[in-house]
Amino acid sequence: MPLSLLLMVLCIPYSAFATTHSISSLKVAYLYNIAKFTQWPEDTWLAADSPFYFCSYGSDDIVEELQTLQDKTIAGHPVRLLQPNQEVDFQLCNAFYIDTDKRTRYRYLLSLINQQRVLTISDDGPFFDYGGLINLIEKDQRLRFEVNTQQLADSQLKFSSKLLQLAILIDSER
Amino acid sequence: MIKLSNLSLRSQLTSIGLFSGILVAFSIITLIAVLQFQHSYTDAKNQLQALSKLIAAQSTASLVFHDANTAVENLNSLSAKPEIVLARIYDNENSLLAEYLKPSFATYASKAVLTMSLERLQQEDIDNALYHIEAVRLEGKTIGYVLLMDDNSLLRQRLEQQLIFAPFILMLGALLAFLLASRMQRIISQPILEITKVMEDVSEKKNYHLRIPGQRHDEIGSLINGFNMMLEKVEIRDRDLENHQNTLEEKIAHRTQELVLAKENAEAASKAKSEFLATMSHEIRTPMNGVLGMTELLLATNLNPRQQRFTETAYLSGKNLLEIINDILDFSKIEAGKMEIESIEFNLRELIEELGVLYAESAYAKKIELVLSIPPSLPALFQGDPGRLRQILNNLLSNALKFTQQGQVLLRLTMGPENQLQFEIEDTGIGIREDKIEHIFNSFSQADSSTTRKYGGTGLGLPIARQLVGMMGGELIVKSKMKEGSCFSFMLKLDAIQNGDSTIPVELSSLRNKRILVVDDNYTNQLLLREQLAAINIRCDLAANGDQALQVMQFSENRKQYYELLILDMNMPEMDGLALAQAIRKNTHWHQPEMVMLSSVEVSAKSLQENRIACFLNKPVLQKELYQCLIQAFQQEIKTSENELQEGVTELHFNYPYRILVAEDNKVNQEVALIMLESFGLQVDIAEHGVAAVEAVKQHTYDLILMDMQMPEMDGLEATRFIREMEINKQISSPVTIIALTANAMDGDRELCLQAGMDGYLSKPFSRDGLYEGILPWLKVPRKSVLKNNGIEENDINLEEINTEEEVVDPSVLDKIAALSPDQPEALIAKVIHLFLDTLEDSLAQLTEASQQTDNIRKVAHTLKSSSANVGAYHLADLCKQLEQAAIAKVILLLPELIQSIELESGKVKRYFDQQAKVKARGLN
Repeated sequence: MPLSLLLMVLCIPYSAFATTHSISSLKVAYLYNIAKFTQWPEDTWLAADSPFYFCSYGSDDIVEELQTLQDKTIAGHPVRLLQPNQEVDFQLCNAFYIDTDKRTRYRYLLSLINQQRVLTISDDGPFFDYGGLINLIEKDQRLRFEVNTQQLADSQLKFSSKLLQLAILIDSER
Repeated sequence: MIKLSNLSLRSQLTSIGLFSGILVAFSIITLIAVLQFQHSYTDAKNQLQALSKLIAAQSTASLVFHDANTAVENLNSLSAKPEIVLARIYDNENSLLAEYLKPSFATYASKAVLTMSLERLQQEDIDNALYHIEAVRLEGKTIGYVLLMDDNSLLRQRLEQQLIFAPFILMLGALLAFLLASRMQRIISQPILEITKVMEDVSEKKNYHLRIPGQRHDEIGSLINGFNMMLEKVEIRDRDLENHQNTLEEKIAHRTQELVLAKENAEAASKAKSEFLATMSHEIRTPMNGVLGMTELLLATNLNPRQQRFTETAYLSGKNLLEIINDILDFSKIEAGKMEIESIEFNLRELIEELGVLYAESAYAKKIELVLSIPPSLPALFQGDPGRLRQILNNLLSNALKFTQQGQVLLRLTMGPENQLQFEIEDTGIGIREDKIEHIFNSFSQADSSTTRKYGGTGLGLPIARQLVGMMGGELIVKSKMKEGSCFSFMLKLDAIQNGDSTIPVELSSLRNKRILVVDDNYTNQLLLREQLAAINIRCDLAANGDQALQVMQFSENRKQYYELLILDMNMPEMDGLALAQAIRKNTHWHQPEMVMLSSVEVSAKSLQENRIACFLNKPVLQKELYQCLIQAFQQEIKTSENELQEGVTELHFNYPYRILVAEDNKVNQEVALIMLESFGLQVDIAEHGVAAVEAVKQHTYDLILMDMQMPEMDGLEATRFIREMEINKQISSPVTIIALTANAMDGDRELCLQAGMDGYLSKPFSRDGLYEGILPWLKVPRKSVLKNNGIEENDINLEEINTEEEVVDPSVLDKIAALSPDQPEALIAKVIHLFLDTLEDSLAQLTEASQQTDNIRKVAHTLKSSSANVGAYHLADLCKQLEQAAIAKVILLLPELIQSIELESGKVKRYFDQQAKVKARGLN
């Protein structure tokens, strides 16, 4: 029943999450759905069953909550959660959540990955200043997400128009 | 509802076209509407589906991220589609995420629809609305639903548009159909109308030259051809008929001409035949008249027995020849259809009784009983043709007598209902074989040719009788058995003429209670007598022979019931009538009855007187004679002499020498007529021809003219016309009686005679009797026999003298009365005269009183007649008879004159008896 649980989680309005579930699980759902509306370059995976490495850095609730995505698929590939320690390991990441507490390390962390091919996400931090792609924010008591259009244009990733329709677009150059 | 077949063909065709057109237009419109609706519906549905899918696809992200705003934005874009009235997005928990509601729809949409949950919408249909629910899927998972609703407004709008146009299209279609139909129907109806018109023309004007124009190859074409062909045939037939009619008229005219010619020829031939017959009969009858007349006269002269026999034979032969000629003439007349049946009054009883008398002698000669059976109640007068009836009965009777050797011949007359008279002539003769019965009616044939040789005869009698019976409306039937006899019978319808005169004399009523015994060996005669007596209410007893009669007499003597009258038959086996009479008279102690003798032969007056036979009757017994005889018998008037009076030549005599003119060119016939008429005591002048006759009439006054029809110079008819003209011009004093003498035995002559003004008609040759009877009605009453010797001698004596002196009373009658009472003749006569005078006074008184009542006059005259005759006042009796007859005939004009004459005559009679009384008184003194 994890799927139905997820669906239930996704479909519950934000206000409901606020009290019953931790906000982190909602944020994980957001992460998952955004990944779904995102298209990676074709040569990202060598094989069809190559794992989708969902990397995380930090130790907040979200990182913990990410464990729920284990055994799910994104873009047709099985999700494998990874908390890289070695610099080499960062090369494997397809999506990369960075704990907001580690904002001081944004520059460093982003330099470890190929920014053009990794969906980078942060939660309510000055992520775009350092070349982040998506930043979760709370606005009008709803959870929303911002997209760095500058970064998106440089990236090889493509977002679905429907995703962009919902996103708050930020031009980091200004 | 108007039936289509009653309309004109044009209307029918147009209607069919119009109807079909409208139907097709309607069908097409309906079909298009349905198709379009279907199409629009599918279209709308597809569109709705497509839109739903589009919205669903667009709304995935909104649903995933639960972004209602974006979802509403998405939905709002549907306002471009006006037919979409409602759009909803549900999340995966069936909760409404976003909604679009068309403002116009919100006003009229029902709350139910708007509040209906998704599940219900998925299960149910909503009327008047089209909606679609599309699941929103992301990566194979249903994440929500999109609902779109279409209110069909577009669909409805399109349909409405079409409905608005439909009537116009329909009308247009109908109009087109009508135009087309009315144009197209002409193709069919036009030729049919033409045919009809031509047909009307043909039947109206009888013009068979008309033809229907036009050439077609369809069914109408063959109809036209057929009709034209028919017309042609009719025309040809008409022409033929006309030709035929023309020739037919010619043919008819031709045939008619031929027929007219043939008819003329036939008529000419027929006329020639008739003329030939007339001529022949004349030519034969004229010499026959001479032969018969002269022979008859010769018989009246003194001849020795040998001469007498020769003469008689010659006379009979002549008569036979005449009969044969008559038969042949009759037969020819019947064959030529010229025989005419008269309808005049006649006395049937007299006719039959005369025949009986005629044949009585020959029957007696053959020892045959001739019986006449006539019902006593038979009316006296009948309407019919007595001549032809006499001829029939004559033929049948002579036939019966001819073929009967022994036994009897019976003529029976019976009356049936409705004036049907049945005549039967029955004989006990040789009879006819059954297979020959029809044969005897064939002309000129008898049952057997050997019969002809044995019995003689022309064989025409029966065929003539049968034809005559047929012409009178009857049928002659024969029943016969060989050796036993034959019976000829026929039924005629003759109208009886009723007059008040009963055939039964008044005096007979006094005889009612007399006892009478009839003695006759012939059973038929017995019965006949009994019947005749019964008719006048006299009962009689019957005896079959003398012995029986005597026994009956003895018996009655013992019982004191005496017979007052005996009727005896003269000819009986064993004891004849005379012997019986003698036997009865011998029994002097018996009550002596009156006796009447019946016989076919004369019995000597002496023997009758000896046996005191009151009356003698000839057989067959005639009713009238029987009754007279009875009266005489009971009045004790023995008038045996009367029988003698009827005999001999000299009895035919007139009491006055009337002057007769005979106009006749044939010398022999002149002589015959002269001698015969002179023998009647008449004065005769002869005229050679018509001119001479007319001259003679100018010179003298004649009582009667016998006028021959065919004479030189001037024939009888012309002479008669001449004489009648003179009478009218008063050139001669009194009208004269003219009787035609003719040998032309054809009926046509009779008409000619009467037209010319003649009074009567005598056919030549005539016998003395015939001549006497022929002229008798035209001359005054003949003188009685007592005066016969005076007749010719008194030719010169004045008529007045005869009447006054001699005719008043015949003294011989009184002498005879006197003889009845030899002891006191005067007393008896005086008594009789006294009685008579009383009656006379009474009668005269009654006559003057009852001068207007013919019935009374008749009775008085009748009584006075018989009374006068009884005392010998014959002239008075005659006058009374005339009066009686005039009264019967109701000739009222004559009555006063006759009564005057009777009064005058009565005076003379009274004077006579007065003188007689004086003479007697003187004689006594």
